[in-house]
Amino acid sequence: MKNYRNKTLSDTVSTVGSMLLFLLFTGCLLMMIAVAAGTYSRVSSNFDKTFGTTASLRYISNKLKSCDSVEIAENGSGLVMKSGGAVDVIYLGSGGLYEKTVLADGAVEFSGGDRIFELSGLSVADVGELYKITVVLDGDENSTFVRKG
Amino acid sequence: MITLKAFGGGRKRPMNLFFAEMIIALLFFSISGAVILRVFASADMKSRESARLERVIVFAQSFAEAYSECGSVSESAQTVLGYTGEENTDGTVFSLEDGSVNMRASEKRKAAGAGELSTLTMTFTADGEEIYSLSCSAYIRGGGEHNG
Repeated sequence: MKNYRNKTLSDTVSTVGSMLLFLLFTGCLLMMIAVAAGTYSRVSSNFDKTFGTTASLRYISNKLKSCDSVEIAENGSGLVMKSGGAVDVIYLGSGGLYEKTVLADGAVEFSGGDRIFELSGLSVADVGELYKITVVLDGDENSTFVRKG
Repeated sequence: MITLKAFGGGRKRPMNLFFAEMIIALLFFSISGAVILRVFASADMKSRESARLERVIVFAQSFAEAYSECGSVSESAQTVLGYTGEENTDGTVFSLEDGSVNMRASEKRKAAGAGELSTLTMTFTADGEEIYSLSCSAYIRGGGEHNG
């Protein structure tokens, strides 16, 4: 059985000091982890916002450039692009950009298809000899211009 | 019994070595923490710079598309930005990204065939350093009809 009566004040102070130091160390570590998590989350969301919108802009631009004819539908939130015997339909659906390919003589409907990008807004406008494409993701808006033809 | 004292075996101040070890460990982790925080800050800054560069590239492409169609800096700027910019000896200067990025557009025209070949160079600078540059051309026919 241990005898605690011989413990001096300096032993107690030393133990308490060590404990406090350990507490400080764990506190600092927790703070660092919180800062790291915050930074990572900010970097990740920034990355998703910027590259999500620019990737969708580039995808739509390339589609517009490669097709034979374009028709803006659904008040600018849909595109009907004809190339050869196929019609490519890109439209803004629930929470994202959807794409589907139908035959040239088939009915064009803005439903179904594959979800290709997460977006909250799409607007395609005819500006003289250019198309203006605007996409929105989490309130972040990005636009580009593409020549017709 | 020097060894025993050193490892806390002495009767007086048995926790001294443990205390010193804790201080050294804390110092080491504090330095590591400072280094890690610097790395986090740098990662955050790089991420912002990367996003800004991506937006600048998209803007430059838009401007090039508009320029290739009309062959005029002021007209392209009016279409893409909604204003015509400030003209000086080096070209036309535009302020982008809430003033953090400046774009200088300089044009060179050369007679070619029945019209002119106009080359536009866009240089983007941030904090005095060039971050991106893009050149594009437009063939301007003699009668004023433009073709990219």
